[in-house]
Amino acid sequence: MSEPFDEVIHAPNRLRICAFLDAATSTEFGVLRELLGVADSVLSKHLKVLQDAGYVSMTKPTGRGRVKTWVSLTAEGRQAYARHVSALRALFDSPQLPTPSDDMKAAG
Amino acid sequence: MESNAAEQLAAIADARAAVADRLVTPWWYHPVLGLLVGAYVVAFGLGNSAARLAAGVCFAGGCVLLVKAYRRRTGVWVSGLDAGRAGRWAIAMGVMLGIIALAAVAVGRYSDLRWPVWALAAAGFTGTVLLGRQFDKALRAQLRAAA
Repeated sequence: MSEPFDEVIHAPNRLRICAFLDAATSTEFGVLRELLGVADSVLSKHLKVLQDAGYVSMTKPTGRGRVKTWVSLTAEGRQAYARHVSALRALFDSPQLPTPSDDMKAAG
Repeated sequence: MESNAAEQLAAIADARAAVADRLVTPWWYHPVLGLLVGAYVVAFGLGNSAARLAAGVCFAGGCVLLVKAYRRRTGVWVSGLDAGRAGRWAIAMGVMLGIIALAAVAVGRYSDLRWPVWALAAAGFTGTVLLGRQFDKALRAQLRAAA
């Protein structure tokens, strides 16, 4: 039995955010914005979705100079991302497995 | 479906490669860390309890400042504990530091010789630079290898 897809992570930009964060301990907001090539507001929206799901945490260290926001995957986020990647690999290895889009089509 | 999964796996691989591209350690990072290790070892081997305590505080403070400088420069931080297989090099560095510090204490306590402590400090410096660079290399290769 394959791992389930995670609807929160499945969106392309959020998948890329999670892939980057999973490879690092913490990442500065501007680096993620550069990775995706999107506006601050778009990135903030995606991070809010991930934060509401409990998948990312954000910190703003205090100190002199411009305050930068640092983003990390939570333990729950790392587990969810690992499950999602397992599901992708399973789909890639066995293309007959249903994707989330197939489930939505079937329901609609 | 299969191509969609392939595209997503490719996007993941690209994101991981982007992390590897970001992790360009400044040339001074490991030598400065090595100097902190060397100073710590000398204080541990030749100093009294107060000097050892001060050295421990300075070492910890120096490491925090070094990490801050690295994070500010790269925008990314990967802890040795989050580095997967590459983390073995970071663990090796920690073990090396422990052994060298204990050896320095033993030399300081049971011998009047000073040069072995300086030799241990030099070994700590060299080991830190070599193992640190090896950690970076292994981590970047690991990030580029697979999603």
